[in-house]
Amino acid sequence: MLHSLQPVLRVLSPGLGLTLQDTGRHGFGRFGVPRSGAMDPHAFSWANRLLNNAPNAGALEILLQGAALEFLTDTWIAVCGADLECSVSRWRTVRVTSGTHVEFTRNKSGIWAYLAVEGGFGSEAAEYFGSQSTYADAGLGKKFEPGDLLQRLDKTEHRLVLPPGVASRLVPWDEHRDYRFPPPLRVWPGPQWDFFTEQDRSRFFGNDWTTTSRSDRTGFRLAGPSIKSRESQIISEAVLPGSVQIPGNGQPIVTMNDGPTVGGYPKLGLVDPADLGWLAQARPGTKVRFTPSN
Amino acid sequence: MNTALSLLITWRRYGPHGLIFRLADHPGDSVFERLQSISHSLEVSPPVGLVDYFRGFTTITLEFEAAHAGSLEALADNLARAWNVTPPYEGTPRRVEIPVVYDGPDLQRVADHTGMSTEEVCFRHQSAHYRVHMLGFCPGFPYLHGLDPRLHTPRLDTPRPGVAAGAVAIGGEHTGIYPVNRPGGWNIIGHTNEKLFHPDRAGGSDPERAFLLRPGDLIRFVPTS
Repeated sequence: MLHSLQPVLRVLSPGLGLTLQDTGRHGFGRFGVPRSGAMDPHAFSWANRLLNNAPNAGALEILLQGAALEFLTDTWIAVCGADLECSVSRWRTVRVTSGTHVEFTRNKSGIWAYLAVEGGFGSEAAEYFGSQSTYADAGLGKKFEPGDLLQRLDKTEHRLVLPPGVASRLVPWDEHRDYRFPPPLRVWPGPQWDFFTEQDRSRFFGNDWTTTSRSDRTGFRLAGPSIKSRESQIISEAVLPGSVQIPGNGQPIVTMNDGPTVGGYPKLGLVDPADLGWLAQARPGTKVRFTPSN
Repeated sequence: MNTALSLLITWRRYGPHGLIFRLADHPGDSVFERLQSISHSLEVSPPVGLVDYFRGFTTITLEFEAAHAGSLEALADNLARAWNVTPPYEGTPRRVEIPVVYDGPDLQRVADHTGMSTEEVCFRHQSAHYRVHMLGFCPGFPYLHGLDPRLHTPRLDTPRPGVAAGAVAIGGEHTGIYPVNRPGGWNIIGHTNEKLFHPDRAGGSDPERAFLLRPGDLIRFVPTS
């Protein structure tokens, strides 16, 4: 084995959902393998960046609340993303010692939080199609359960060493996000843009949409005015993450990272990848607006 | 007829990093063969910056690294021009037999829709030869072309929250096999014990071994009991 590994934490409780995610798997779309990967790349990247980790190092993705972890070694960690009541501050490096329990009790805003450890999580069997991202539906990794052990890469070059006199490293203040108020999300024209009248497009861009509880890693369903497509079904073709699909009931479904790679609903647009993380963090009931991308 | 001149490939941008190329309005053999040859050329010499591609019945979708997004339009024109004259792919198809038990919960629904007995539905389903036109939806799901038109049956109005791996199903004009447990709206007419997706093979040096089928394979369903 190339890397030696060291147990870094034990899962006491997965809470509402605990998986490992990285930048996702690419290159197997033609076999129907979804990209997966972190739902909010912004928070995910900052967690790794704070620790000098590789940009695609795996991090724990924590859904809403309830996760509890016990650290098995002294290590630097970083938590970025959703605002959770927790003994660990977000958006900065934190030193934890062996035996420390960290609980994410109550979610205050956002949906996904990312916990990275110095060096990144490593596991001998956990790479599928070149990625550690959990896609449990197809047996690519698993949703964590109580008792699961996670390991980190165990080499001195993976350790974070801060300069003398520096106690912690912080994410700049203007990079912290308040997920309750997403900015207008930029949308590119989709493959079936022409299936929608000028009036329906204006209705899409001119109104507030509300995120619903029927949302998960496969797709986010939005509620608002009804949008009509010239045809309700198309011959199955690729659906990229971020696609705004309009099914027969006129209520958009935005495809997310674990969504089907191919589908038969017309796609009005595609949320710009740089903005999709904002939608991913929008809890049910959040108002979102879309704006044409130029 | 010269098929090289019978296609006019159109394209449009699909977001900042994507391009979707459309070869025809309807699926068919000549579109399929052209898509096979395009896939082959993409795999032999991928355009710079290509990170993934996706097959459709009449489309092919390319996804690029963000760094190459600026030059996508010129690239798309070049690719469409080249692919308009790509010769058909001359690979020899593999033949795969799929054992099937016709015991699905929607067999009666298909029989009612088509006005046949359930026995006739099974007979017609197993009598046809199918070609894998593409894999998509979830890992290893084959879209099989060649379903007897009399068996075309619309999808369920409300998809099932869970369909078991191995389910053999009819969705509109196509038939397919669920490789993993997924929500799904196709009419389930039977099941196979054949494994279409092997996640345990997805980590090695040849991850394509994780998939039983690939586009171009010729499929027959063989009833077992």
